[in-house]
Amino acid sequence: MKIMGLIFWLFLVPFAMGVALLSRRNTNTKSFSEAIIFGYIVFLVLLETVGIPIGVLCVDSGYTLFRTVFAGCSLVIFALGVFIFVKNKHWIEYKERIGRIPNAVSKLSLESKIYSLLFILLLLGQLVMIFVFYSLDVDDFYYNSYATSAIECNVLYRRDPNTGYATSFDIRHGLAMIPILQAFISSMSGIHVLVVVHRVFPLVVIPLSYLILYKIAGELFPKSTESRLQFMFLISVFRMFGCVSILVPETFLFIRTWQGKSLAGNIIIPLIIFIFLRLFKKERPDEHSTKWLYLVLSICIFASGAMSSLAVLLCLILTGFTGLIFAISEKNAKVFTKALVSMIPGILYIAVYVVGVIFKIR
Amino acid sequence: MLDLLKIPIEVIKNYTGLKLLFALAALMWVYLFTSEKNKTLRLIFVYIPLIIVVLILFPFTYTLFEKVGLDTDTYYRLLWLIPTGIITVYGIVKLSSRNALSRSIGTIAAVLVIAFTGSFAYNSVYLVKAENLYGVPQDVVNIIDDIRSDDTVHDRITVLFPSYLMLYARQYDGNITMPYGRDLLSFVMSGKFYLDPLYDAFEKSEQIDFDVLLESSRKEYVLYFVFPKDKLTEEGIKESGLIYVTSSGIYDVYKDPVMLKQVEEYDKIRSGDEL
Repeated sequence: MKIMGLIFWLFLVPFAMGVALLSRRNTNTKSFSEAIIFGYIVFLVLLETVGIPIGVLCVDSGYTLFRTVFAGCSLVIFALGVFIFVKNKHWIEYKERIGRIPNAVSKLSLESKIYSLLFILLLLGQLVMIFVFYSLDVDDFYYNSYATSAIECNVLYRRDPNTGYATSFDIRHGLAMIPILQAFISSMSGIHVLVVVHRVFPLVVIPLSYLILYKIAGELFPKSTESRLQFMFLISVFRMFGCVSILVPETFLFIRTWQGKSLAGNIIIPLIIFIFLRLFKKERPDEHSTKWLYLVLSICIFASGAMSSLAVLLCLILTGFTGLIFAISEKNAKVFTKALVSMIPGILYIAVYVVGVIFKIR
Repeated sequence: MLDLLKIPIEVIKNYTGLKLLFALAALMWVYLFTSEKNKTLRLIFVYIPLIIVVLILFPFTYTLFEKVGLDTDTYYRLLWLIPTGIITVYGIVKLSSRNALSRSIGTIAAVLVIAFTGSFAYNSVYLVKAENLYGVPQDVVNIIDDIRSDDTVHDRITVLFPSYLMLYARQYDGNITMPYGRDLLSFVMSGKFYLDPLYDAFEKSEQIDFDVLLESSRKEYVLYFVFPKDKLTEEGIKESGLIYVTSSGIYDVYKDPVMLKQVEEYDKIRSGDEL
C-alpha cells in the first residue's frame, strides 16, 4: 500500500496533470516524456498556489488544511487528466508504442545499443548509490525539520528548526514549499518523511533530470540517434565526475538531491533551456504552439519558486537575457515582449517575497 | 579595478575548484564559438554563457546583489545559468560526430579526460555510508525511539543532544525540542560572541560538571540528556541524581527526575487537578 501511495502521488498524479496540460496544445499531445516533465511543473505550481496562502495565513493546523486542499485540487486535475486520457484514447497510442518497443530496440544500431546500455548502467548505479550513502549536509537540519514539523506539529514553517519552539512564519524559506511537498508525500504514503526525502525523492529527481537532458539531446541532434545516446552517456559521466566543488549543480544532484536548490539547478534551469530550444528551433513552431510554450515557460518560472526563492530570480535573469538576445538577433521586439510577459508570475513571486521580508509578514 | 573584480573572481575560483574539467568546458565553448552555425544553439550555448560570465564579473552586479538583501554566499548560483555539462558534452559529441569510429574514439577519450580532470561524486567527504533508510545516524533513531518508549505521555520532549547528533534529531522527530540548535553552533564555529552557559557546560568541558550543567538545563526544561560516554564519570553521574534510560553506540541517555517532577506538576495544573 505504501508503494502504491508513492506510485500514485509521484507518478500517476503528475502524469495525469501533464496529460491535461498537453491537451491544450495542438501537436504531439500524447508525448509521455513531456507529460511527466510538465506534469511535475503543474504539481509544483499547485503546491505554491495552495501552500503559500495557507502558510502565511494559518498559524495553527496549517498542514491539515494544506493536505486537504492540495490533495483535493490535485485529485481534481488528476481526474481531468484521466478523463482526457480516456476520451482522446491516449491509452491506445501508448499501448501501440509499448508494442513497438521490441521492434524499435532491434532496429537500433549496435553503437546505439552500446551507448544505451552504458547510460542505463550508469543511471542504475546512481540510483543504487542513493541507498548506499547519506550526506552530511547541514542545510538538511532546516529543510527536513520543516517537513517533519509539518506532519508532527501541524504547521507550515512555524517551528524554529533549531529548537522546535513555535515561531513566526519563516518568509525567507517559507515560499519554497518543497519540504511541505515531501511531508505531503510522506503523509499520503505512510512512509516516514526522512525516507521520502533521502531515498524516494532522489529516485524521482535523478531520472527526471535525465529525461529533460534527453529532450535537450533531441533538439541538439534531431537526426542522429547515435549522437543523442552518446550525449546521454557522456552527460551522465560528466555529472558523476563533475563534482569539482560543493557549489556546482552536479554536487547538489548527488549530495543534496532532495533539496529545492538541487531541483533548481538540475531540473528547472535545463527545462527553461529546453523550452527556448523548442521556441527558436529552425523549424519554428506554429503560433498556437509558440503561445503554449510561452505559457509553459511562465509556469516553469513560477514553479521554480517551490524549489528556492533565488531560483525564481535565476530563471527571470535567464529568460530575460535569452528573450533579449533572440529579439536582437531576429530584430523582432515582440520576442522580448513575450519573454517579459512570461516572466510576470515570477515577478509577482519576487514581489511577494520582497514585501514579506520588508514587512516581516508572519 | 582589480579590487572590484576580487570577489567575483574568488567566486569563480571556488565554483570551479580550479579543476581542469572547467578548462575542458572552456575549450568546448571555444570550439562551439568557432564552429557552431545553428543560430539558436549559438545564442543559447555561446553568447548567453558569455553574457552570464560578464554579468558575474561586472562589479555592479555583486553590489546590487548585496544591496537588495540577497545572501552574498549564494552569488555563485548565477553560474548555474551556464549549462557547463551540456556545453562540454555537446561540443565533444559534435566534434566526434563524423562516423561511428570517431564517435567511439571521442567517447573513450572524453570519458578518460573527464574522469582524470574531474572529481568523482562518491568520493566526496560529505557522503557517509548509510546506516538506515532514514539517512541519519542510527544512534539518533535508537535514542529517540527509546526516549519515546520511556516517555509515552508527552508529545514534545526537550532533549539535549551533542552537536553531531543534534543536527539530525529534529529531522527524525519534529516534536523533539532542543535548547539550542545549528545557529548556535555556527556562532561558536565562526568565533563570534555568544552567551550560552548550557552549551559551555555540555560541550566545552572534557568531563561534565553536573552541578553547572543541571543549573542551566533546568532553566531550559531539558528532560533527557544524551552524553558521550567519555564525558561521564561514575561518581559524577551517581551524584547528579540523573536516571539512566538507554545507550546507543558511544552515547548514554539519562533523564532528570527533578525536571520530570516539575513537568508532572505542570501537567496536573493544566489538566485542572490542582484547582
